[in-house]
Amino acid sequence: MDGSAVVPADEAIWVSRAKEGDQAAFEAIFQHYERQIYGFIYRMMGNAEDASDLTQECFIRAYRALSQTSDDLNISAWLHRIASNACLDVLRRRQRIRWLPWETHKHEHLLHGRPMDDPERQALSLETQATVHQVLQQMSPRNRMALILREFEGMSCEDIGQVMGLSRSAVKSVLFRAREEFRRTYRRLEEASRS
Amino acid sequence: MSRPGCKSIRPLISAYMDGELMPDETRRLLEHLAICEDCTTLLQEYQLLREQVRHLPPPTPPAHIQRRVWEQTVERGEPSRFQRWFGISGARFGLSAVGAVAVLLIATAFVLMRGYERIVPPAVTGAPPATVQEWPVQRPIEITFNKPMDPESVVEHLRIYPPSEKERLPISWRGNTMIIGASPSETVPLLANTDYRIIILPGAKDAYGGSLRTPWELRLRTTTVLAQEPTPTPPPTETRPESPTQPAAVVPPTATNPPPTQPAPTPTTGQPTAPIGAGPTVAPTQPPANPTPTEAPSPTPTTPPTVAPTNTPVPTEPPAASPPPDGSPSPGSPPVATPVPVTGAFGSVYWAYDDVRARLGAPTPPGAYSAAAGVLDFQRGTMYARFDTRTIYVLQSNGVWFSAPDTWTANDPAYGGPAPEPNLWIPTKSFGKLWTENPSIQEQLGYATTETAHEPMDGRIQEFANGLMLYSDTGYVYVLYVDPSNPYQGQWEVYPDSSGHGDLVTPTPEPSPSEPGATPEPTGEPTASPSPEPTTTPELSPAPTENAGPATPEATPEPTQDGTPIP
Repeated sequence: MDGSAVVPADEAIWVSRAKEGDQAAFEAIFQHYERQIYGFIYRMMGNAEDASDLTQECFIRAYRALSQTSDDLNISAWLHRIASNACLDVLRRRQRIRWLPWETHKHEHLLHGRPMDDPERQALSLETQATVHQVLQQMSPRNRMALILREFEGMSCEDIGQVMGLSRSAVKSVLFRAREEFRRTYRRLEEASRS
Repeated sequence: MSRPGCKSIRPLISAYMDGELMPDETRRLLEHLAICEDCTTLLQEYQLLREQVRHLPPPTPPAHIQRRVWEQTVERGEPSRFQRWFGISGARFGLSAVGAVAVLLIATAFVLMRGYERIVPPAVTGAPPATVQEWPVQRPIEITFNKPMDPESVVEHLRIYPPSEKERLPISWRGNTMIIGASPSETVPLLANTDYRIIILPGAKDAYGGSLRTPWELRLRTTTVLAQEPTPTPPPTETRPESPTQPAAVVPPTATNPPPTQPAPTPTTGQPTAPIGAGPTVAPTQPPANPTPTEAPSPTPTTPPTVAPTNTPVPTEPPAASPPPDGSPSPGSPPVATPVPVTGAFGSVYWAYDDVRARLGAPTPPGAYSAAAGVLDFQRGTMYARFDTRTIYVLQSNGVWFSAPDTWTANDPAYGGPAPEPNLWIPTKSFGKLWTENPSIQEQLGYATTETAHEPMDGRIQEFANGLMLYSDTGYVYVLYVDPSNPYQGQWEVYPDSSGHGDLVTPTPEPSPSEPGATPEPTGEPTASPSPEPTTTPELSPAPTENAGPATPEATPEPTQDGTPIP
């Protein structure tokens, strides 16, 4: 097993080489971030089709713009910024603030193959996942983005600021509001399902 | 009940979840949480939110994204290198043919290897590389052996540090591979941003009864990113880190810690036998970029505690509350001529490691004694409190310890409560007060890995010329070397109790110069006495029968077995 692939030791070297046109370096960057960017977009858009299209678009934009970036590029924040702009563009265009229905059957295969042989546990787990997904999709895009970047992507407030074009203190405020919105929405959905 | 200040506290709870509070804000928040149920509940809700969001299953991108991106960027109509690298079209038939041949070969090799397998001693052949600096918490740790193992025996000889993690993490097997952190039905994430040590002690048996000869150890620090799945990214060849055969990176001590002069334990078999805890050879990862952690020990050294701990190199008198056990003479009249024995768990470390013995020096009267104590493990270290002298030893994973007075009283808040991350807690009572009042300790140790401390327990302490040993009944021996210039700080290491009789009652035979075949104490220290521990501690339970009572001259010193420090 190779743990070295988890965090690229010499990411700056990859970026530098990719900027010079080294396709293998771009390939390494692509492979390292593809799953992460796809996951981020999937959480933002709420469906696999958009996630697939926008991930593709994100990397194509990145490939074309890479040569114009600065030497101290934070590649993760940069890719997320491209992805978040792409998401917001589409959401604005569609004026779609409401969430798409969660289609459980489409997502079961995404559970990464770890068998869950307890049906009750599996049902509970899927139900909770569906609720969380539903809550995320009901949140405002801005709050949702901050929450996903922080909790799902594990980004620092500073990096989130880079992605969203906000100061660090503004990010803290957005995160507070996002958590409150998530909490209230979650409660509301739970109460609705109980009643 | 909700309090007037709650409204202004709530944003702090959110910022606390993100590690964005200033030290004074943290203190204000923790003090509020200690008395406000509503805000504690809110923190728990935020924590649950985090857990739920982070544990959504990561979606898998469809394969065609790679292909389409490649077509519109790198390939641009050239013959598809992508297909050469990733494509499998047309390969199915070939794959099955190759597979059939492989199965035949494997079957033949299997038959031939069976006999070979029996005689080859067990060993670890595959594990995460020691150079991994950030391990995703959702990724189980897989350790592969060279042959089928006896799972029960391996788990029995498995040590995980922080110790509470062995209880929490499921352990399962897939063929010759032990998987820590996953079972067929669930994956339990590791603690985030935590220093882990995985040790398999000698004695772990294979399926044929052969024993692992040397201890095996892995160290890693988990990442703070819970959701990041490892991606199968082969980085360019020249950017790969060191080969797996290279030793783990050694982190130089911080500016406040002089570089260690002692080498790592020196087993004769060449296998690393480093202690589990921190110490000179410790710390697989760099501390956080924030420079404050390196200042962690400074508060205490610069402001010496008012309560003097008992860790002075040569204590002038034993603690009043700790009558010297083990048959040593009464306190107040410490014997000068009688050598002080080092036995039980302490002996299993002291006599097994030459460098430990050399660094600690000779044991000082009155020998090992008991004291009420408590121990609490953290993400990156341990606190050990002894209540006889009201001293807390702070053992940091960078290998540095320092002592501080225990000032908590029943009138103080109880502290405690959930931390921002799952399965982590704010420490309580004595530990909580010291932790809450010292941001540098918070920074260095992280959060507690159990909700409450392991206390009260019958701690054991033995002092030496240059340090002391502490024992917790969780099965670990902490070795504290005292800094010659400051008796309240120094370097430390932790070793699993390999004596097999963790009650410390049964004497560990000491090397006897007069015993033929026994390994004499190489340094000729007076502690290498032929007289073993004479009696058992009255308040403790009897020792296992095979080791009960005074050690006989026939007893073999533990360190000599197979030449391995941990028998």
